[in-house]
Amino acid sequence: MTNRIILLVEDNPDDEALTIRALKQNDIANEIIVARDGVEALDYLFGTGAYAGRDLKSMPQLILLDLKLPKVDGLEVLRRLRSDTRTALLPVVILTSSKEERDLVNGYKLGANSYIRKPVDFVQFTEAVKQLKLYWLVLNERPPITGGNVI
Amino acid sequence: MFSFQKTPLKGKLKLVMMFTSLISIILVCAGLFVYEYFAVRQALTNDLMTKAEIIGANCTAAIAFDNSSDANQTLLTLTSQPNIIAAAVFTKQGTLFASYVRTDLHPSLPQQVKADGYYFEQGRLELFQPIMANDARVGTIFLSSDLERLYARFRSFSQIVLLVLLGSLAVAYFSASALQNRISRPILELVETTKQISERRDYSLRAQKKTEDELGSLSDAFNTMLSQIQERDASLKQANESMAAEITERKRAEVELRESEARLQTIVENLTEGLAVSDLDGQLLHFNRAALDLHGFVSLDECRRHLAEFADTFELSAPDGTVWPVDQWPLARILRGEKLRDLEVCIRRIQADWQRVFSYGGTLVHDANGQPMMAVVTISDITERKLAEEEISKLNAELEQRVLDRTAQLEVANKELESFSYSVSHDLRAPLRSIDGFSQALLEDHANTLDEKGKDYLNRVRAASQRMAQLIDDLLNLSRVARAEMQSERVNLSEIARSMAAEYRKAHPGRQVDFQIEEGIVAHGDARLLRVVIDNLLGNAWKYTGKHPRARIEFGMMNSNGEHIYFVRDDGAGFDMAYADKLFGAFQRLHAMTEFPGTGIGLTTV
Repeated sequence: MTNRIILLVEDNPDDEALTIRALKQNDIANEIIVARDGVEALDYLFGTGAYAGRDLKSMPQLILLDLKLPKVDGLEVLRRLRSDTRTALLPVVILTSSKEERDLVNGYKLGANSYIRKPVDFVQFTEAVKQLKLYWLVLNERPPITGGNVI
Repeated sequence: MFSFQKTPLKGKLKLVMMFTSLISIILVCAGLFVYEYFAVRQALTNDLMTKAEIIGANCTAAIAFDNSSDANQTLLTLTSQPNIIAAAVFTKQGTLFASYVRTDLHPSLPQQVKADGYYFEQGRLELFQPIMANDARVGTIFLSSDLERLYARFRSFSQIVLLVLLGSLAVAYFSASALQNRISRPILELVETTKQISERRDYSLRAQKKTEDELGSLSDAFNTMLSQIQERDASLKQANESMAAEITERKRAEVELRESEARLQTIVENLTEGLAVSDLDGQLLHFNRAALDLHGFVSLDECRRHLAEFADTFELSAPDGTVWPVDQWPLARILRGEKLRDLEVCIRRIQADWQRVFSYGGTLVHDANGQPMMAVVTISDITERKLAEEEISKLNAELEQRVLDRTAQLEVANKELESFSYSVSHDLRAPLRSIDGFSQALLEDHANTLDEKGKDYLNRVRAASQRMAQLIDDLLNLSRVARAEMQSERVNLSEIARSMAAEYRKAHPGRQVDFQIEEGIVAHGDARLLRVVIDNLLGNAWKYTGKHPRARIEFGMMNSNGEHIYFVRDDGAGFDMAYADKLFGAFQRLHAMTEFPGTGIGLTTV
């Protein structure tokens, strides 16, 4: 059950394109699901809305979460998925523009596994994505999926 | 008239001594006289007996021959004895035989023979003696002699006695005079001393002790007594003096008390605060000038009434408007034992347009035994003050409201600023990322269709967007610092500087920089902000020494006029002091971008 999905929650299409570009440049072959706002992200994770009926057995290996999102913001998404047993243990990396203190504090308080500020310099950004991949997709051992179906 | 009592001691002594010697001489003379009397009488008797014997013997023959004329002849021989005044010879039978009588005296002869022996009778000595012949009695002889010899003896004796008496009296007088001196002088001296003492009241005089007898003891006793008297006198004098001093002190205190009373009176009358005094029944005794003025009284008589009587004149009420009955008035409360302080009272004259706000105070005044004596009330007019206070509290309330409004506005502004910086942080960077990211994508994906100029332009676009991002970050930092709440604590600046230096070295391992960081520099302040300050200053030093192969950066502290001055010193590019005042303004840079990179925000943050 090697479901190697990366869920990218990003409302800015430029950022989406650049992030995917950076991921691709780092030879990441994982399937990338993009949610463009908080509601879409939650729909995907819990199989509701547009994703109703989705096989909830396949959960992303990593969630890259922007904070500033339309409808439901990133921190709220984080809070909800951490409070649901099916998604509570999913690795979540906050990937955002801001390094405001309150964002950092709230992000970690709500259970983010990591917090990365997107550098403006794309070369640096690519380097950061490379480190992300190396750490979260290669080195890091996934927690067992605790969703209703799989332990 | 002579009185022994009044005779001086000298005379007394003389008299006593002379009297004593006179008595003793008289006694001696009396003894001698008695002795002499008997001796002379015996001699007379013996003489007469001898004569009687001789004459008797001469007469024996005549008797024997009964020849009376012979006997008479014999008797006549007695004529030569002038002291024999009569003589007779009696026969054995007792008849007169012969007789002799001195013619000039005509003495009588005895009619009968008396028993043998002698008899002193009527100034005469008469003797009857037997006439013996051959141891047989033949008759009796009678002789009568006058006592002229005895008397003569007595006369001469008396003369001698008289002379002796006079002589011994004279001797006694002189010796008494001499002797009495030795007794009387010390006494007289003692008397003189006492006289002097009593006249001069000088108890330091002393009697001289001249003898070791009772008078000596008397002198001693007298002197001892004098010493005691002197001591008592001295202590008495001392006591007197201290008493006098005490009296003087008391008089002075009295004067002072009077003065202080007068002063107190003046003070009370001139107090700007009103003062009223009442007895324990609530009868007002005194209002000072200010109290009269405050209540609108003209004379003291108007206010010398019982408290209750004022109810017709005044109405007293609490600041909240509650009208008080008389038993709630300040004086009534004081009389019940309450101590009042700053009691605010609205006082109104009934039937007059007169209303004031008074502040009452007061208490019962107690005497030295703790018994209440009277009540004292202080009154001050606080009408103006109350008005001012009301004004002030109104202004204060307005001010407070304004402050609240401003604070709220400020909070809103702060909130806005916060959300502004928040969205800046998120939104302003995103386009920059796109610009940089897609420029890079162009450079990577379309490198072959771009000439060198195009690549250069794209690189410039990227550099500009990155600098813009840096600017945004610095601005956000500045606003964060400006918003931050300061928390003062002890901060070790040396430690911060060291950790910074280590960070810079790590970031630029190729540079040769000699850090001289003074140890133990401690300041009070917000640790986070101080870190920002030091980071900026040391960072600048690091940056502007960038062109030196070996740079030197110092961090230290010095004292100037009691102030601590912390400094960062480097041997880097430095700056023109003419622009020093611009150094700390936002976006101010003193070096060209090409020389040293930077946004000009750092020192503004400091």
